[in-house]
Amino acid sequence: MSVAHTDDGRHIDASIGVLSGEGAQIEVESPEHAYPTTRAVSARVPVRDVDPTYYDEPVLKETPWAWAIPVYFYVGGLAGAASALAASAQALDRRGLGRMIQRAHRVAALGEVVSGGLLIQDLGRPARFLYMLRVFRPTSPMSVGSWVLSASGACSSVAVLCWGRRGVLGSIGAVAGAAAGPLGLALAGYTAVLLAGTAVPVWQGARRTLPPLFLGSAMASVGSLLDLGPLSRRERVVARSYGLIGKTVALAGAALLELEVGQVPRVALPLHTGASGTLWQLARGLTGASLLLSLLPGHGSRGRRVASGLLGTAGAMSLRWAIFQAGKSSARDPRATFRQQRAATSGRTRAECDESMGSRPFVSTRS
Amino acid sequence: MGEKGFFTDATLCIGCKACEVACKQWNQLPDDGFLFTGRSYDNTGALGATTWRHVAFVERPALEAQADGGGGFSWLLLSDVCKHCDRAGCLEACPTGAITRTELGSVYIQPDVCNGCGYCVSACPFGVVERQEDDGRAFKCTLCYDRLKGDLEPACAKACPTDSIVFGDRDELRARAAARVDELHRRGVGSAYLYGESEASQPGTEGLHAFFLLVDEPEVYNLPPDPVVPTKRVGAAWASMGLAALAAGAAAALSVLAGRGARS
Repeated sequence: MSVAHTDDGRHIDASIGVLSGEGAQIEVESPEHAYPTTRAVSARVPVRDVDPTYYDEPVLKETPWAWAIPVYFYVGGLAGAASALAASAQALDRRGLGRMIQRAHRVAALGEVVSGGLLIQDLGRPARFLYMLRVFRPTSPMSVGSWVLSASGACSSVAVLCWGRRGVLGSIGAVAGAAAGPLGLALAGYTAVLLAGTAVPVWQGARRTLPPLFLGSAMASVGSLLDLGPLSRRERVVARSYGLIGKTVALAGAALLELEVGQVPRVALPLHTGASGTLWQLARGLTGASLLLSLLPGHGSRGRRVASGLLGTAGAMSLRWAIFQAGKSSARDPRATFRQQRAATSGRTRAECDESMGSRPFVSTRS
Repeated sequence: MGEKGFFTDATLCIGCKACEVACKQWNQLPDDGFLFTGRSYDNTGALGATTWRHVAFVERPALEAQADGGGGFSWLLLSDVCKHCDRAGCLEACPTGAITRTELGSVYIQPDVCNGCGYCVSACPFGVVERQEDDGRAFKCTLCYDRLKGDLEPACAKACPTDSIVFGDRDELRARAAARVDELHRRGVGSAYLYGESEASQPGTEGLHAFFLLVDEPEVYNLPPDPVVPTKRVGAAWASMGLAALAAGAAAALSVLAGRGARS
């Protein structure tokens, strides 16, 4: 007897069965996509090694995020650091830097709108993007970040719309522009906390150095972007100083990140090998070259500034991409997870833990 | 009803995969395709969006006590599942409130609220939650919430022929598990121990609602040796970000002041 199956891989006779189970609403659009029959698996001979894994299968799930997320890290950082520069210029030198303040607010507002678009693009259910603002959950860096992005987007947009107005509207614009500053810094920095707040070894292992690295890179992005356009002499000094500090912090942060992550050498592996390793070296090279160009004599010339700006922009983009890729390969490596956790328990095996802890194996020695 | 959970005893598992099948059938989960891994008898691979129970087949050299046969070879078997942690990484990471704690202590993803952001996937220290790319939302074991509401035990525990998977009140399960470890120790299996039965044995998750009896190191079963819910450590990142943001604000002010020094 042949059975009329539903064609979604549930093998349920639709004339008898009712789809009402907990997993019944999982939608399957393309069976070929949903049920891959080929997948790379490793075949290992059973040996009892000192460093066991389960057939080298990943212990963690790789993030499902795609290209939009590293691009968002760059664009969001750029927008946030631009807001901070605009707010500080507004407070300290509103008359001398008027054109640059307006431009920075525009970069911020546009960047935040684009950021929202990128995030919605990456949602598995894009139509539900407003669900992000259903609750505020302080334990979730993503929830905090969603609110920060919304608030700073609103403030930057108001600052742009009210720019140059007089009276009440002008005051509202000034207040919004000032508020966008600290919100922008939070926007540029929270993405580092977002990554550090995962179980992915290389991201989690960089939790102290990743925020300054991302903020430095965001400042470098703004300096580099401003370098691409025409600037007055005074604006040039401001953009160059901001960019110089950013590039220096990014380079120093990258070196410190390698030290922090390198405490467990296996965790640092993606920074030295594969696509992420190449991107990481590229990011440092491009940022270093951009820094050098803006330090050498003759840095004020238009051609030199554009070259430095392009190098700095490419450097900031590849930096975010390198960190993103490193996390993907780190999640695939079970030994990174195991060794990081063993290092926290002083690398002791179960037998050793048993001896000193009685019946409490694997109890971490962390205080 | 009080706190419920699973006690999964690796020494009783015979690798029949009845739990996998019962789970798929009851929950009406879609197929995963007919994947042949070519190693061991594990063609399921791992837990995922449409695989809520997974039997691990660990191949080991023969044990010293193994007197005959086996071809110099021994098995370890374990049915893995969502751990329903006391401090759940997925729940604390979820920005929409889709992941909730039920009155039974289990961790439940509400499909009608999940917007598919994928953050819970990276926040789970056990690699349990997965986003089903076709559907766009994240799915995992529900501890058979619908069956429990109908006074039925979860499908996997019901189907398990050796009671390797036992469902029940958490306190009773803990007592049962402790007695089982004592018994195994008495019978010469000194390597038996409990994984995640209490906060003391797994401070990083503050204990699991689905805990295990293992006889080898956790890595062998693809379980992390000392999992820590990421939220427990994220404070350092926020502090570092706060300091860096203050410094960046100061840098912005300095840059503007440097510009004021320049003649325009």
